[in-house]
Amino acid sequence: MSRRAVFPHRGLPYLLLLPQLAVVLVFFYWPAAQAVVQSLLRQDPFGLRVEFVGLENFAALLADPGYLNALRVTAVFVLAVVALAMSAGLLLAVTAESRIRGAVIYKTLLMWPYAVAPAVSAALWLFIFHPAIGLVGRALVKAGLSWDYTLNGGHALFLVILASAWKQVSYNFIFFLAGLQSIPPSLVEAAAVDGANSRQRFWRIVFPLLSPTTFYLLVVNVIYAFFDTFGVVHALTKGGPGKATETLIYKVYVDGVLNLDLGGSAAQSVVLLLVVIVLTGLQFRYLERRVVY
Amino acid sequence: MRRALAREPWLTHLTLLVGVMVFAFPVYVAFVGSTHDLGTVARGEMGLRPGPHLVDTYGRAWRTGTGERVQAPPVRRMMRNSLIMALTIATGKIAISLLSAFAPSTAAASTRDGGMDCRP
Repeated sequence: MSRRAVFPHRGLPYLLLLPQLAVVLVFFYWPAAQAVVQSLLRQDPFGLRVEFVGLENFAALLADPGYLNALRVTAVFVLAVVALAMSAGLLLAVTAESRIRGAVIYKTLLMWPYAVAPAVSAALWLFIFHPAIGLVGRALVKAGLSWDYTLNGGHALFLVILASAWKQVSYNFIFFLAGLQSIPPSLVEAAAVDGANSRQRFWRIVFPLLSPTTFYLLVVNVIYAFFDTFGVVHALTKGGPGKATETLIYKVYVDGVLNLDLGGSAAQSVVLLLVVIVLTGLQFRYLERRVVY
Repeated sequence: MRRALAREPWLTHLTLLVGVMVFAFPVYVAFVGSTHDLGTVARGEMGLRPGPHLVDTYGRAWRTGTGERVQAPPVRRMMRNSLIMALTIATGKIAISLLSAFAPSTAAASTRDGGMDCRP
């Protein structure tokens, strides 16, 4: 019996690939190309007149203090979310991997927020930090701190970061756990026999061996913080107060959908598209080769 | 006494418990909120204990979606919409990627040399 099935038609593989290619073309390449074209045009909100303006939209973007503010906010936001989510995930994963009673229960209880949607996470934290409704918010106000994330930009940014990072910790936890389980225990035991204490064992043995996982999570978390946190910002602050929590992705929405500056919004989308391309490129390039340790 | 403490790693348990609390607390607070009426929540009188309106709130959200000052589609309807969306997307995605995953093997069998042979 031959393991090779014989398919009569040469075109069959192409036929099988067709649906996916069609989906990718229609839902990715077409809109992306449209965004690139739109970023070179200026159009009035009613779509009556269109004018080719070259790179003017991009030039306007760089001259716009609002955009520079969004860049700054995004930088702080992404750094904070990634640092918080990854360090908390790693800490919990390392702790849950130690030999203690009830480790399985802890692991289960730490994994489930993975299924929480960003907007839901925002609503949950609103219940805690709202200055008039929330438990912690009220306590802060009572303690004399003028806590109000609807008025204070710093408070708003803090809350958005917290809600975004909270949701992502369990994702990192799951991957760090898997990474830790793939480290041969004999290496750690050998280090213990050599007299390394638990801190040395972690930083000299475990942490370097985790670096492929860490790098993968770094890229995924940066992409998450850049692009998947729209729901959190929208549900909590809508970019406000003022523009204190307006991240790049939120500004694309505000400028394009609310203000109908289609060219400017498209130019921002193209910039973000480049960010994604660079991040994905980095991931493929370095993940394929393995991180060097 | 000290030996007993050393055997069970309390710091580890503490860290994990704090982690679990951080994840469970917001959900618990939202649950407590869902068992109070609007006035209690809006006045900021909600504590950490569930209130008396659990059945009422969930019943109304499920059936009509109307609250004291809100008018929304009933959760029943939204659940159905989400279910339809999720099932369609999941089956569609799997079906499409299943088809394209079959492509290399059919190509390897149909073309003798070159072609799309992806097997090592």
